[in-house]
Amino acid sequence: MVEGKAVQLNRFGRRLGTREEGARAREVIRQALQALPPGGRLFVDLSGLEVLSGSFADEALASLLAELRDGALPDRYLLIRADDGELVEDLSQRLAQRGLAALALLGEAVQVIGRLPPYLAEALELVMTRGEMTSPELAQALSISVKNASVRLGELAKLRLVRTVQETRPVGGVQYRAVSLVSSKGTS
Amino acid sequence: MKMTRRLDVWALNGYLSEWDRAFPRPLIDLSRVQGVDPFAAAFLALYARRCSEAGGRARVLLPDRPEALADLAASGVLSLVGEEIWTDRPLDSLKQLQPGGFAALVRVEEERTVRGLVDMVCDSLRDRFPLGETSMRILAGAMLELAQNIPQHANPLGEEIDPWGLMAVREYQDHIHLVVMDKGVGLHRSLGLNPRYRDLEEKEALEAVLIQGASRFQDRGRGGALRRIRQVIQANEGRLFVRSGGAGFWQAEVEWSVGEVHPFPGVQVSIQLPRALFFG
Repeated sequence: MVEGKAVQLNRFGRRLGTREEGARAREVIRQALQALPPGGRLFVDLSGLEVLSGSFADEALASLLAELRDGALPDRYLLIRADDGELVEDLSQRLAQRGLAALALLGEAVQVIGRLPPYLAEALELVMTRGEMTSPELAQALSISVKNASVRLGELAKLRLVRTVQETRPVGGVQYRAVSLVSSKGTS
Repeated sequence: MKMTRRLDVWALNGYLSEWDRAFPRPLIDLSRVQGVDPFAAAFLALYARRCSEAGGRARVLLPDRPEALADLAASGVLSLVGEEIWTDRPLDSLKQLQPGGFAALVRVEEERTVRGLVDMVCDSLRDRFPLGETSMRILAGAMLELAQNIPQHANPLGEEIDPWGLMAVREYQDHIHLVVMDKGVGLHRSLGLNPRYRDLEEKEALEAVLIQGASRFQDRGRGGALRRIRQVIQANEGRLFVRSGGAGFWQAEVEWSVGEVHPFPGVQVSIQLPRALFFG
């Protein structure tokens, strides 16, 4: 995995609240994402913030994650880093409202914020624990069909929660390998 | 009708219909009032402004009780609308009254000024209280969301109205009282811009916004701020009152109700957070 870059949100102030400010922050984050090489990760760092309102979070982060889900800036990944979970509560709610999820590094722990259906959360947990997995490996681990496993990894990739790498099958053809963006212990 | 008790969120509803009978030149008799809370003070400012815009002038009999007069002076309402009302005593004589505790009443006009106002209030409060992270997040978060609603939603169609947004904060021995209000189009008309909610009654609109998180936008990410504030207040044993048009929403602890109030334009929000939260 490519080394991650970071954007400190406290450059915009300690108490971030309005949509107007959120839109300005979104452009800064978007430019940082654009500047990443393929496979690059951008950590949006919330340390030093006192308040991150739902309106700011929606404008700066949730709407940008929605663009990524819809195909913008391919192979670039956005993660959240915060000192504690309380600060990301409003962001998590706004993500859920939009049917999105994101990986948040809270101290030493990794948490999925927003809304992720249990069948995808289960698959993501396995990928993060093992570091990387193919559809057949996930199928075997969960006792599901390869097609089903492939769909799950595809949905995680669409949400930019894992990175997929194309590789050649030993028996011919193409398969995708899902690579974790972080280890399950939060190592970035 | 003379008021003989504290003029607060609850008492105000009873007096508004009387004032409206003589609108825009009502007699607002505060002579027997024992105290004025920040919601009532800010509402008086909004009401006086509305009278003035209608070509009239509110006539105010100031409180006889020194404590109540100090309350009113501390609220900042007299300096905000002093020239738009008639009072039975010169306002210059009130300047020496010292408010007890922190109080602020500020105008909320443009979105770009909202954070500066919130920072000013929060920094002043922080100087006075051992504010914990959680309490500051709740208070500042609510202020940021509610205050930005005024430039964003109080006049969504750019009509010939001045929402005249206000935000007030006051500390008491046992709670902090936050008030944000305007005299814009109100939740019912704003929400009605979304075809999904066009046919709702005023009370239903208030419930849709506060309970379901409804918004005038069809974008899934918009809306939900007032519902979130309500949930946080509930989780922290605070009290919430929202009035908009002819509907009012009350929440105390886990119970809430929606009912009718005497109509007044815009949205007026009162939040009372227990002081214990700020030491937690």
